[in-house]
Amino acid sequence: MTDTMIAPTEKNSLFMEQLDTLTGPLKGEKSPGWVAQLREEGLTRFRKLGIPTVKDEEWKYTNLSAVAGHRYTLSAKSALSPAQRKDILKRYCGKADVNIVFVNGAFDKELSNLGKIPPQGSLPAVGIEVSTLQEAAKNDPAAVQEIWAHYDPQKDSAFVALNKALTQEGVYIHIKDKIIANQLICILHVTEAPGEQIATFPHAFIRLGKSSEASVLETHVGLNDENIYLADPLTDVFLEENATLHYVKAQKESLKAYHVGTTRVWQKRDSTFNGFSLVAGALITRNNLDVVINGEGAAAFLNGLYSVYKNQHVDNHTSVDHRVPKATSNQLYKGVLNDAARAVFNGKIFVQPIAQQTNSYQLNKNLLLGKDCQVDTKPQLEIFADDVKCTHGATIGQLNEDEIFYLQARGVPRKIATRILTQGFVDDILNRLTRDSVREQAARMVAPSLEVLEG
Amino acid sequence: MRKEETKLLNEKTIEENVLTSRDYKYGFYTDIETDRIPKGLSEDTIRLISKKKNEPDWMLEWRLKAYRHWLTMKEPHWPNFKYGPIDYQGVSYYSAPKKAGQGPKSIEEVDPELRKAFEKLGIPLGEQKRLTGVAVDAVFDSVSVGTTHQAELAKQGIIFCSMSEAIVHHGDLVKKYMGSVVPYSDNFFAALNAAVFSDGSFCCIPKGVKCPLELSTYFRINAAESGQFERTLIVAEEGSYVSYLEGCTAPMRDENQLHAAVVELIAFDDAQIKYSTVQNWYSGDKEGRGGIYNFVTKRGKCLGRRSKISWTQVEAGAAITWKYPSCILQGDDSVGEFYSVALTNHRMQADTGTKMIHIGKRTTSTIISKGISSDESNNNYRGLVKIMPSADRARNFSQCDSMLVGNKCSANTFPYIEVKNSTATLEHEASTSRINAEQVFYLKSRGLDMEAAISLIINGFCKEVFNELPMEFAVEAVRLLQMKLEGSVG
Amino acid sequence: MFEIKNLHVKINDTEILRGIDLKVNAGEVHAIMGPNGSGKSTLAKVIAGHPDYEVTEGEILYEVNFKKINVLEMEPEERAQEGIFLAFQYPVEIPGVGMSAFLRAAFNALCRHQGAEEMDPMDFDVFLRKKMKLLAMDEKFINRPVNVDFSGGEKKRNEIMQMAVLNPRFAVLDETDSGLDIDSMRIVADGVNKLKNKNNAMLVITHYQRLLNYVIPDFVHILVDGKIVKSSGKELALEVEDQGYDWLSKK
Repeated sequence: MTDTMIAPTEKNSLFMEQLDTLTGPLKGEKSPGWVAQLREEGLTRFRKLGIPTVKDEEWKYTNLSAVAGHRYTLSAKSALSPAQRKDILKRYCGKADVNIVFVNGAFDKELSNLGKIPPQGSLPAVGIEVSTLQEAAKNDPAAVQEIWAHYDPQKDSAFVALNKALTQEGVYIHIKDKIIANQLICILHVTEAPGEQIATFPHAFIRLGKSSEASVLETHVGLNDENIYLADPLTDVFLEENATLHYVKAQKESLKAYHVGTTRVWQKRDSTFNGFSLVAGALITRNNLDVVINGEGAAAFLNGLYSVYKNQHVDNHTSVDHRVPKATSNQLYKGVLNDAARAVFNGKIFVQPIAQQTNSYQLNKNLLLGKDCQVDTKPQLEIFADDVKCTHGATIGQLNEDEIFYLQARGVPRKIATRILTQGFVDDILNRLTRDSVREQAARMVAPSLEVLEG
Repeated sequence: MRKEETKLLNEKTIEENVLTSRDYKYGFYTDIETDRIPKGLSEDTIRLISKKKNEPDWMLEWRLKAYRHWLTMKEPHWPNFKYGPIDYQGVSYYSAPKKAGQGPKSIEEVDPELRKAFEKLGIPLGEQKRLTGVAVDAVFDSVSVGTTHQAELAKQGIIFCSMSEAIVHHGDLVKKYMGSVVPYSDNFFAALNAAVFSDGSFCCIPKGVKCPLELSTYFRINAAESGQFERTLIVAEEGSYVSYLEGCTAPMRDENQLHAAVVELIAFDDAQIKYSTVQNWYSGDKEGRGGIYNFVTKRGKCLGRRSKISWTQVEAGAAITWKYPSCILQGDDSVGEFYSVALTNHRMQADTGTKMIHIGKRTTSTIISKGISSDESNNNYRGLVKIMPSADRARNFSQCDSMLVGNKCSANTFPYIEVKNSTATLEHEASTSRINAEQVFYLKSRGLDMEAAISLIINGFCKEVFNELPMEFAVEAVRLLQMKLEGSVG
Repeated sequence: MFEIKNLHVKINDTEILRGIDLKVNAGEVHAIMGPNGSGKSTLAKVIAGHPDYEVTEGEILYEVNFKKINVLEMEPEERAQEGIFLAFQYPVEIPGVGMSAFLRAAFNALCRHQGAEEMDPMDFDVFLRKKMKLLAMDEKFINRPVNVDFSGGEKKRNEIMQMAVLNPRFAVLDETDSGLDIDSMRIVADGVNKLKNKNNAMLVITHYQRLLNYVIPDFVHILVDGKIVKSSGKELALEVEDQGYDWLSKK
């Protein structure tokens, strides 16, 4: 059933070897014992798992041997030029938004505006707490430690374990009970380290209190398409009763970068997770989005758009675990593939025995525009309850010839007709982003992959 | 109008054939003298089987090669699918009714005890009582005990006989095609089968001939501590057509028995093969004791242009089913179809589906799978649609629906879709729902009793698949499902 | 021919019907009106034998061959076979089950029960098409799954069409007019009137008075909080249409 391209073991071992070098600098850090303990836990787990190969069912269609074949450093010597900094502010940092910016994995105080919006000290007063993870770990270690209590470390995936072992920077967002945070909270990761091969392991922690609401945009961009680097971000979301989070993860890494990210969502009663995943690429992108529904009446919306070209590879794995009755999940992932791009979609829906009256829907639609593009899709239902309604579907196809012809008959050249119809396919899902600034940024990020159509 | 009429008739018969028996009615054992080799598996066992069947050397060599390969392989296991260790040395690999003797015989010479056994299964072999329009090859444990209508078929040049007979009389054909679709190295159970297979059916339809009868094989496992390892090979030459049916049963026993079959189909240009199965092996009791392990490799190759292979299966029995009737769509414009109903109850586990491998241009495939799970059973659909780079404008439509009855069962769907050609169009739909109490009440309030209501719902849920079955099989299939579901719905 | 005596009904420990008495003779049309939540639909479902409802007290008697039988002891299908019919307020969709297969199965079950000969598929097809014409239903519905993708109006018409096929002696119409535009309602009402004769009887449950302009009731009963608070002739329907139900419930 598979292409038997097995990651050469020497590459894997090269990666394993450098673990010591990578963890070296962390040994000197002045962190409390529990941090060191977490690192050790992650490291042990990762050493046990290693970099996954295509023999692993979860990685059947995504070959990471290239990822394992580089030597990485944890920090960069490079710095951004003033022009680049200006450009970042212009493109990605809205004035009215809360911006937390990381450059090459390190918190950039200047590009961020944590201090410029209501001063740190008064934030708790309005119930919106946004800080770096280090700060939070210092101020409220118990809250940060609790992140890990929800998950069994023995079940961590390789890249979650690796993040745990090597994470240095991150974000802590806590919206207090009944607070409606109107401003968009932007987490921005910029990588620009020519000639260096850096690896970043950011960790974001988003917690929403009872009946609160917030919007978070997590963006990952590479400024230079020649840069080779690895991003292994981890985002943990906890939604208390009746909370609503609008969460967008938008990613446009360099054409030579690797992005293996995980977002874990834990939902309590009547909470809503309104998620959107935008992938405008890296050389290899793998996004895991794992939602655990742990309270009745909760709803999870997982929307996604991937638009890739050249030899990009994008792999979206979603998993929705219905552990309680009467919850809803709804997924729509759409993809546009150009040139020799390759997409993988694996959507799992678990309905546990007690999760009666679950309503779950999943659809993956792929538009193949390139001559050599490939798709592997595997929607998957695992259902252990009987009073449920679950539907999933997948389509793979080209643009509708009748529609192209209709436009041609009205005088629109074929190429433009193709472009218009593709844009329609994309806009249909982008329009689910209700905040204008976010939608516009998403549209800008996917634009390059669609521009090839006009060539 | 004609079609409409048959359809209405079909529905009538289906609705009105309500069976009252709740039990496995095929669970009897026929006490008959058998020729049986000692338990155990070794090269000597294989030589013995081959010798008993008077096989030519090439056959023995092939078996031995398969056996040696099998020794290097590992028994497959999946996360959703559990079975205890199988003691391959605890099985007798050859068990035959003594009086069946060697080689084929006329049906009239078949041991009356055996004929009686088949009659009890609803498969009369005798000249007067034969099923009309159906030629039967009856396989009892390891051997074919008789094939009906052979002479009639021979007039048209159709070969339909047991595999043992084919190896002796049509050696060149068997040698050419056996293993060409399912090589002995294909998987663990296919390798085991290649090493020890004892009989099965062979069928070859010559160029341009539309086979006038439904061909069928009826498999019966009778002896204890034995397995059945049959091998079926069907070759449809240019422009020919054949419809083939297969039925299976076994006695009720507390221990598990292994059935590891291989079926190979080959269709040349414009040829069509329709292969239907109603599988009702003993599935074990409520606690999951006993039952058949049904590990089967079925694969068809659409070698020729515009050829078509269509699999239809109703899987209602066996403790564990592991089976993926597949199509390799090699010829341009060839067509593969898979229609399946899999029902599990008690503690049965079914892992079934199909693989459609598109190689030729404009190849199309259709997959319709209906799973019904009840009690504490586990029903998986596992399928692969693979579009190779050469398969320009290939198309696939898949629909996998599951119905759950009761809350201790589970239904899983694992559809793999791999597309390596961007001109392909695929559509996949799947849903899971349950038999709803409101639906049952609505039907009852119109005067239907529980049984009728259930059979109507099952028939409705599985209609697309039943429509593909020959009439007699469709009726049997509905009865079978209804019988198994009674008492689970309500 | 049909009599309800002191009927008390519970669902999930909540008492919905609290002592209903009602007597219907052959040839009569009775209307039951009442505000939402008064127990109208519960009454309809209990008559048909829905398993979710628990009858705690009372009885429902029905005359078959000059003998009174207790309906509450019968399965839903037995009631149907004896000629009790419910036109559902919300007819369920049954995917995969074709209209003609379903109705023929129901019709033949009825035939078997009455010791009559079953109708063969071809004759039934003709018979069914005739009944569909009566309700102005498109013939395409004959091959469609029961109620699947039917519009609201089509579902209601389909209920009355089934009534025409099964020709019941006692029919309960549960809000058959709700949600219908005036044209559909006329078609439904015409169908109902054509089915009316001196040997059968109907219980028409409605929230609005509109239908009763077309299907003229002999008696109107007002149901409030699980009890019949007032019974009178057809003019009562107009009264409640004008004044609402409050004046009745406060009494």
